[in-house]
Amino acid sequence: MSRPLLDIQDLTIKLRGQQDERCIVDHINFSLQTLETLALVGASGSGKTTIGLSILQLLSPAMQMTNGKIYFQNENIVEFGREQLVKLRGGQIGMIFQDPLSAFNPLFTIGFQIEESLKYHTALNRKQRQEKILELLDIVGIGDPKRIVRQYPHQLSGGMRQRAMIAQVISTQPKLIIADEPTSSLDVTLQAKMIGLFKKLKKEFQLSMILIVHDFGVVKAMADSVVVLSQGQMVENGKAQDVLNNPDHSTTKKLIQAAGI
Amino acid sequence: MILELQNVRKYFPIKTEVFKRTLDTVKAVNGIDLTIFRGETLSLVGESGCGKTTLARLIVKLLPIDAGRIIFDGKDLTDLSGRKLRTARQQIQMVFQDPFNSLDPRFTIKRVMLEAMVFDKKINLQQKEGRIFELFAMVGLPENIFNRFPHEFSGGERQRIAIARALATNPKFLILDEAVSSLDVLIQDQILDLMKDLQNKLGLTYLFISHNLRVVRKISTRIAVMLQGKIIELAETQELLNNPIHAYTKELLSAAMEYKVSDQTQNHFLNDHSKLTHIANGHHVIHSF
Repeated sequence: MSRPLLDIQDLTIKLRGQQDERCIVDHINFSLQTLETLALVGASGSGKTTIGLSILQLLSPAMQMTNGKIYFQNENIVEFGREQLVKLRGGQIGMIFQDPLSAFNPLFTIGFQIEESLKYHTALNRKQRQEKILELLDIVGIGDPKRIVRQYPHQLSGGMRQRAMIAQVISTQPKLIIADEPTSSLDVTLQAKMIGLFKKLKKEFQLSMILIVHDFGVVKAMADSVVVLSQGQMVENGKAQDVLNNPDHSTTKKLIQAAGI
Repeated sequence: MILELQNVRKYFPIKTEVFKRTLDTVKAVNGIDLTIFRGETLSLVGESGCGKTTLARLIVKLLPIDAGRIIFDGKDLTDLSGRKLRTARQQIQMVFQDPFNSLDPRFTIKRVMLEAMVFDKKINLQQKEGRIFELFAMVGLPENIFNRFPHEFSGGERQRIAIARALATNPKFLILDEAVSSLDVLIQDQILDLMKDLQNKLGLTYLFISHNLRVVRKISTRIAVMLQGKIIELAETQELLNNPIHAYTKELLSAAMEYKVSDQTQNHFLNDHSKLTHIANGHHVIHSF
């Protein structure tokens, strides 16, 4: 029997050097099918971003994965060497960060930074890369791509930066995108537009997604399945519809009520 | 009524880089008339760039006003300056969006709080400390945080500190500029509950600024929708949510509630001279020509 696209087993993460037994991520199991959108939901500090980072093996040195296996396309990422990881990050798995201003390097133009991922992850030559960049920026809804490629991150508005980052992430045609609070720093009108864009891209590029959010409104609009976290533990897991209609755990109920949907 | 704005305007010039010639103006606040009643929570909603924050800054006179009048508690604030302005300002306080930036990282919490009371000459240091403890109790903070620094607190705790600081001068009127937007949904609810509680205890009036109608409806008495420097619709909370009239209000509602935008989002053009007109039951909507 083949495994799902992503299969996380018994994932446990602790603070390095701490004597106490408190886990940041406490024996978590979940899996993600191809083309599925799974939402990791929880209050701040519940461990949702930590799980996202551990999938890319990008945990800060202060944290240590003490147990668990992360299977992506039947291979255990935990056993990957440096070279394999470089291919994986930004290639097979893309990550969209919450704050698009700090995710870009302020010293380089948008075009340069998108080209960088194309250079490392595709076999396109320089001219093809330039064409590809313009095409990508057009797909994510940037009106004047020729001008934008020459601009620096600070010259763009929050929504534009977010779009440029999405263009960079999809440029390598990843199988899986991890989006960490992709809409939290935007105002509601933009949030709605971004969610529309994600839905469009999912279809066009055959993407699977892990969505890290605290807002059940976003879950309702986008997710197929949900994992609810509280203090590092998984308290609920199921189809988005079922969880929204019949929340079981008190944390889930509180989160749904607070979202005001 | 506690605050009345009469035809308030603020235009920002866009200048060329070298010669500072004026190319164009941004009409950030373009003729706003608004009355806020004592004890209510009026929410100002709209997308980024619509002028919400500029209006708030005009009310506390952090920005000079171009035209119009601001009348607070029967007094005309428009032309006040110096000591008179400082006295008047004690009645109006602000809580900002980002509690990571609004508290000085090098000040202890004690100093943050004392600074807010620096103009209060009637009570001595000891009495001030007593007052700070009272405020902490009110906003649900422990007493032993006096000598700690802002970075030691979580976002929700910092926002409580910012609220305690705003209350230090015994204000009647609080402006909350996106005060819960940077917090997660559970903490948002806690802070909203705290604010309702304080309003009941202290008889405060709030101007609550936010882009999110979903948050706003939990706390508002009335909601005003802003677009391009103008208020385009104003009504009681339930009325506005149930019977939105202006096309932009409808868009904002479906974006906030269901995360949906229609593919052809309309461009809304507002005439400089268009004014709010009363429809029924305190429901106002802008009349576009």
